Amino acid sequence: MSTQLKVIFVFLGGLIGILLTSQFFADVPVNSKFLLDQIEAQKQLRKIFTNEQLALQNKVAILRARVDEANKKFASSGVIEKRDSLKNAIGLGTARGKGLEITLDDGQQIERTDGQIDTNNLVHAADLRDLVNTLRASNAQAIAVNNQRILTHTPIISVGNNVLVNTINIAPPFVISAVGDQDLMIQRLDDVDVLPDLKVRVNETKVQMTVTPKATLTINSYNGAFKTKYIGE
Amino acid sequence: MVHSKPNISENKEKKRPYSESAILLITGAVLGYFAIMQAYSVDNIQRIANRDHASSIFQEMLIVNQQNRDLKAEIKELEDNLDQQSNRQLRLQALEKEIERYEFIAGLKSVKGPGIKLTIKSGDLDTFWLVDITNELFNSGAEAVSINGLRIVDSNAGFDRIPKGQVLLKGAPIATPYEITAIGGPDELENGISHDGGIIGRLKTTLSEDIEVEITKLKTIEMGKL
Repeated sequence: MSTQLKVIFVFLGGLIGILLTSQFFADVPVNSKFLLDQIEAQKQLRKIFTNEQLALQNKVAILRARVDEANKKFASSGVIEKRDSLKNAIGLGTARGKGLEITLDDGQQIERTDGQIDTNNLVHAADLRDLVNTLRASNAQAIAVNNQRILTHTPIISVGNNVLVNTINIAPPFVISAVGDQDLMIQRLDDVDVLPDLKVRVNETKVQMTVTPKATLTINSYNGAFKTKYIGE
Repeated sequence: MVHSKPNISENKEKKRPYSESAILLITGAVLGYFAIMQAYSVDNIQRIANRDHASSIFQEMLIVNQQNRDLKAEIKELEDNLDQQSNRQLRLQALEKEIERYEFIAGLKSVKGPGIKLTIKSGDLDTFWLVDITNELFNSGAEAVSINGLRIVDSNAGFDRIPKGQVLLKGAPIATPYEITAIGGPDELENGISHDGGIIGRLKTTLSEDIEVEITKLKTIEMGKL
């Protein structure tokens, strides 16, 4: 073997070594750099805010029911029907009917607090947004994620490795309930062009997804706030 | 007749280039495999990371705190409504106001208010970009959002894509250039989408720096009813 060939061989061997090393020891994006005590403080703070939020949501639900009751005494049935129809249209009524229950979960034995986690093994806010969008495009009448009613103005965002829906911190497994035409929704979900990123990760068993048709689903009304500070006629 | 004895070392020399070529071929194949795997895994991670930037705990607290303030405002509005309970006339006025508010939210009445106009001149965007942009706008406090003149409400939400590549919003075609308007606090909306790591930055980083994106703050935006 000529010296030139040997040099090429050694060079190629070196390249393989570099690639192997970078492949197996590549730093995946780390979303948390907090020390343990800071993480604990963060959990406590989140708990306080979330508890306050849940208490406020309960109060909103109670007050809305009291307002409805009060109006019944004075208004005609036609006006009350109009109000109820509008409330159902914007998610302030309970939705019941046939539908799908979709469960999305992280890869098996994945711990979200692990700083060195491969993010491909996590269900992301983006996955939930895409799934909700697909269900909406399939005429779903009502959608909820972990019992949080999803409306047009509901942001689904990531905060570190966590997901906020209606600003409530939710954790996997994510259960997406959708009332609507089961066949139409399944047909759209089965479309190869729909949810390509998620399907690749499901096929590679990096994340888990199950779709279950349900004869009866109940989706609770939205208990959050509607912002109407800036809009007017 | 003289028979020359087969030279074993010569045969070995002849065979060696083939075995070396095979080694180099296999090495190249392995190299290519790892190069592709590496590029694939990085690309895969970045696609997800580009859509869901990591917010800090402080941002989370700000978001939750804002929502709690909104809930308190909603509670005050409901309590004011209940205060009218004893007077029939005031009660009916409160109900009228409540119905009007629901009509605004449902898109059954035209609405107007301050906000921003976001113009994106590019090729057809994937539906997930429109999903993410509207999500960011609502997360930044938008009270109403429209795309190319069509307001997005619960009855028509859901972007779809037909095989020809065109984006539909519940059957209505949405074509480039995309003109997205949002009613809300103009500063909050602008900051919400254009901050470092925000949706506009991610759009440009992922697709192209050459995409023309223009954000205009407006004192009045009008959105027609559905």
